[in-house]
Amino acid sequence: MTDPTPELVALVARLGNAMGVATRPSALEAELGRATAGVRALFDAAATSCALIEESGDEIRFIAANGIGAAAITGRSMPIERGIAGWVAMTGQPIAIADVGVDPRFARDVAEETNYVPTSILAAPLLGDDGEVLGVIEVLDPRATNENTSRDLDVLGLLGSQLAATVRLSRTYDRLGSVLVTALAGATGAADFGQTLDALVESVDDRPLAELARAFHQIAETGSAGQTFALSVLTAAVDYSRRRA
Amino acid sequence: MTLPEWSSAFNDAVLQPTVALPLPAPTQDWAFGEATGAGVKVAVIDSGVSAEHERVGGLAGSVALEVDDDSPEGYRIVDGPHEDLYGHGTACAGIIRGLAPEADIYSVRVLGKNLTTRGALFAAAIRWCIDNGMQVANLSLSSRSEQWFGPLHALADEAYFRNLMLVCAANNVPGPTYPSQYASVFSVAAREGHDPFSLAYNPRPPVEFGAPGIDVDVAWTTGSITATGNSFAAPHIAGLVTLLLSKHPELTVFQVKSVLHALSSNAR
Repeated sequence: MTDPTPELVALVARLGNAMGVATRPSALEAELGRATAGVRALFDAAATSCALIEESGDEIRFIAANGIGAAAITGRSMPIERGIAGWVAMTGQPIAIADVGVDPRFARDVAEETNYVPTSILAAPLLGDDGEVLGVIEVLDPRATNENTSRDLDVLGLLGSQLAATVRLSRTYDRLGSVLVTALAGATGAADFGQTLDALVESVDDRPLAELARAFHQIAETGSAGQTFALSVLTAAVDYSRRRA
Repeated sequence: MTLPEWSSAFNDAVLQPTVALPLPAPTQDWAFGEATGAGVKVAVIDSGVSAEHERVGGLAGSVALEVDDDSPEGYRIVDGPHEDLYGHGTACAGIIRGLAPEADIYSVRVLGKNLTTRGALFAAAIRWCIDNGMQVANLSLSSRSEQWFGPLHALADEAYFRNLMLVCAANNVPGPTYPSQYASVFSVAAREGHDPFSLAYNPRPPVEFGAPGIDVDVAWTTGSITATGNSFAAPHIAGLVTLLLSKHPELTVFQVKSVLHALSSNAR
């Protein structure tokens, strides 16, 4: 067998990434959505949200939310230096604020856009095993709280760590091919080989492939009737493409 | 409560006694009595400092280290007044000023508004402190980069031998960060309490000193906030070191550590 060219390895990595997206056990957004609903019920809160730090490190993006204003905040990005969530993302420190109205860190304008301005907030980081902060979970106006907020923050912090594990697993699936190739390159000890491949893989825009993989994943989740329907649509689309070609 | 990393070591319930030297122990009065911090140059390496804030009460000087990809070093040093880009540096400077009202506080801005910086700028900020005769530097920031372990270690050693006291906050989250875990620095974590003169020594380092940093009232760009973090414990120790040096300017880094050890609440 001849040595694989960097282009071939990059292609394998891309296909691996797409396979990861297509075959991962569940969609991250749905997972975090269920988590925010559970946390809201646990704290009997007006609303909860979960934001992840973007790859650039400059912004956080709200992936999931539950309760009042959830639709308005979901999908929204904001600079990491804004708001209580940003503070937690930057410092990695859980926080309980009894009255956000007197706290200059609170992003009142963002809250107003969601048509809900809370009085109190609990927030904790999504903390990975190695201390990396991946995101933040926020609880707005919790009613089921302890007199001593320490316990509430302990509980929220533990949930945050669990969610961090979910996020990391999801990201590993999404980058399955890249992770495998990088691991193989690392195992051979050829550092520059690994760097070359990393650069190649990073430079390729995989969005169409990733979207296709995501669509396959969603089809897989719809059950047999949905799959049969999707297959008939796909077959029709392929036939049409062939006739046009 | 999910406390900042290393804070639990300073909880009175678990804090082990530490053996004091069999020498006449320095008292708080010997160390800090009548001291104001006058004549001591203290750098706050952070996000900038709002000089006009009432809890800061003016600065002796300000420099900002900014990214400059056209320069060979990758940064430039901008001398002159600047604003605090987030509030974090003002909080630290306010704590130091509260303890040492007459200290010469310098803002060395290296963090951006997102509280991050490049390793080269961080190293350059410490270099600036060494080259400009600072006696104390508060570092409520640290690097996780293994790449910078060596260069920062060399700088911390140089600071030690030049008698510049680097007071470093341990990271809030687990995992080693630099220079906060070097033996040559004062490594600090947050502990309960609001007495700014209260401190504890951890017999199980690398983080050696504990000072107030849990739910403490600190200055912010506008007004104040209640905050928790090792970031706010370090300036308490920096303030105490400043007071000590204004009264006993001849002390070296290891002597200052010894005095703080002797004054720790768990020293027997």
